[in-house]
Amino acid sequence: MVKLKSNDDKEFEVEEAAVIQSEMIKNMIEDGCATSVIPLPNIDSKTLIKVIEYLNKHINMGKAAETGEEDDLKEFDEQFVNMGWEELFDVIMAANYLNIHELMELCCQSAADRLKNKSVRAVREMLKITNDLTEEEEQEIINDAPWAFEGPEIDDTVN
Amino acid sequence: MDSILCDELVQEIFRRLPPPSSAAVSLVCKKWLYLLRSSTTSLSLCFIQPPFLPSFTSFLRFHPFLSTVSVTVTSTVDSSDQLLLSVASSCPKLRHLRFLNCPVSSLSLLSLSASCPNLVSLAVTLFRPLCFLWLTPFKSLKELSIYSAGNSGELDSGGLDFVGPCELNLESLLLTGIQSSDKGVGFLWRNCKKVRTLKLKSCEGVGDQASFLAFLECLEGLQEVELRTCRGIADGVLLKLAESSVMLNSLLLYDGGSKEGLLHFLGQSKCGVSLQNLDLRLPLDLDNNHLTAAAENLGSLRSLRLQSCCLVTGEGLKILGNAMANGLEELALINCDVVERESGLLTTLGQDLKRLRKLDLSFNDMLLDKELISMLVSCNNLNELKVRGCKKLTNLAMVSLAKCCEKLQSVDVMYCCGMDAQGVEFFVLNSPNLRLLHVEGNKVSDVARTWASHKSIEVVA
Repeated sequence: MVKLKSNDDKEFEVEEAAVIQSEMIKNMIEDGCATSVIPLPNIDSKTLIKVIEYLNKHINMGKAAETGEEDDLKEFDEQFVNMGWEELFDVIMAANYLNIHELMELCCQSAADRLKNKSVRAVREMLKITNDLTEEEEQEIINDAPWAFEGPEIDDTVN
Repeated sequence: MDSILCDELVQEIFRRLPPPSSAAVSLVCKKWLYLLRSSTTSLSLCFIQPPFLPSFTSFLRFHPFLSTVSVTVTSTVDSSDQLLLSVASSCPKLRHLRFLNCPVSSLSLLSLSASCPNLVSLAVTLFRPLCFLWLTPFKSLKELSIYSAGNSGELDSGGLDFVGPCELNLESLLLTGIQSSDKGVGFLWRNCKKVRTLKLKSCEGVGDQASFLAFLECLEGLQEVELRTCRGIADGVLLKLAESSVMLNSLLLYDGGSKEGLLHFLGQSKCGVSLQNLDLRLPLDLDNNHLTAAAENLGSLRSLRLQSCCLVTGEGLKILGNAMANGLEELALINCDVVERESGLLTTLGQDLKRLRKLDLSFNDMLLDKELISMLVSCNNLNELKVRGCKKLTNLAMVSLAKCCEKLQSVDVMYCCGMDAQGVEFFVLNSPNLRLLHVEGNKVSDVARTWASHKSIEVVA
């Protein structure tokens, strides 16, 4: 077992087999730096619980492929990323910090899928971004390269 | 998103956006505009009308990290050199460039070499007279594709060509539309000592007399050769390859090569030990003698692809199959009427070729279920099958496919009008390893579609 401590001072015990999916912690263990509690100053307990849930589920990736539980895992992943934007960003940052490649891939792809084919207005609203481009600037960007903006229909809904 | 995530992570997400969504996010705010532009490394631009030059240039300049650019202009333009110069001056980190349809001059290519010294692959269209001296400063260039256009009206600078030797580092060369009057090509043949892959398309010649000897020398070191619609030179190339090429690994011949030329190559070539992939398309005179010669001489073959061979019979194919029983992993008999004509041929081939992984029987429109099924029974290791355009095949074939070939990952049943949604559904639901299926959209039932998306099976219409 490996002990992790979130930045709000909560401790979590995780199986070594699960936690070494994090390249960062794997390296620490290999270098013998993980004898006591590993402090994670960038991750709060809420996010860490999500990350540990993912690690535990993905602990036996290879085994799942053999026993045909891949679908189960895929379904878990779909459910897993079903969270709000802020939560998703927290997990992305945690995954990046802990260097968990698969989790990073999953969450960034989910974020990209949410932005795909959305109108500019919808994106701003979803992420509460203030537009600091003037109308002229916007038009200039489009006029400069009108071909880049041609494509499938745009979705104006916010969800 | 920008207030929580650092720039690097925002770009990580942008990288996963397909165009034009990636362009759309640039309009969200100034920061995103900057982040998108500074994370874009690859652009593919296709113009029907030539773009307005200043805006084209400024667009490229906003993307300082471009390493791969493809520009195609489908109408004739006078400004092709300016377009290329604009790319050259705006994309200093360029490694791969395709600049097609609009011919460019040597002078602008020289500028390109100065501005983009790291270019690894380049595809361009050139005017006649062809000249390749501009290649000299491209020290990093490994892959070159040349498409020749009409005459520019300039005088042939032929004599200029005889400059001292300069070593080019090219490893792969594709030339289209070369004629025997193209003096300039000799420069390529004399200086490309490292070329391993040579592809010639619609070439009537390989340059003038002086170029020819250098060309022959160049053939010796080749590992991969493709000749497409090069009737005039195919025999000569085959003869030289048979004589001197001991490293040849792969040969593709499409519409070219005489009966004798091909027979000599298949039976006598020194590359019998190294040749692993042979692909013959429309070899009009190919008959059983050729197959017997190949069976005796080409012992290392892993992949044999034959397309539109009308003279071969089952006898020849059986000899070949028997000789290559332990080696052949890929077999294609595309549009070869022998497959339909001789009942039982496929069964024998299936029994002999124990190591077969890939099978392509496309466009044999009279191929019957029982012929295919009796072959598949023996082909348990198959992971790729194409029967595109086999109109007589029915759902029965789909059912056997699922039963006999559990390892199948990729299947193409496009234009098999004898099959319907029911057969496709059964196949999709009962093929545990399927990853890719080519079939018409209207033959995919809702059940099959749901199952496919659940199992990450890609269905391509």
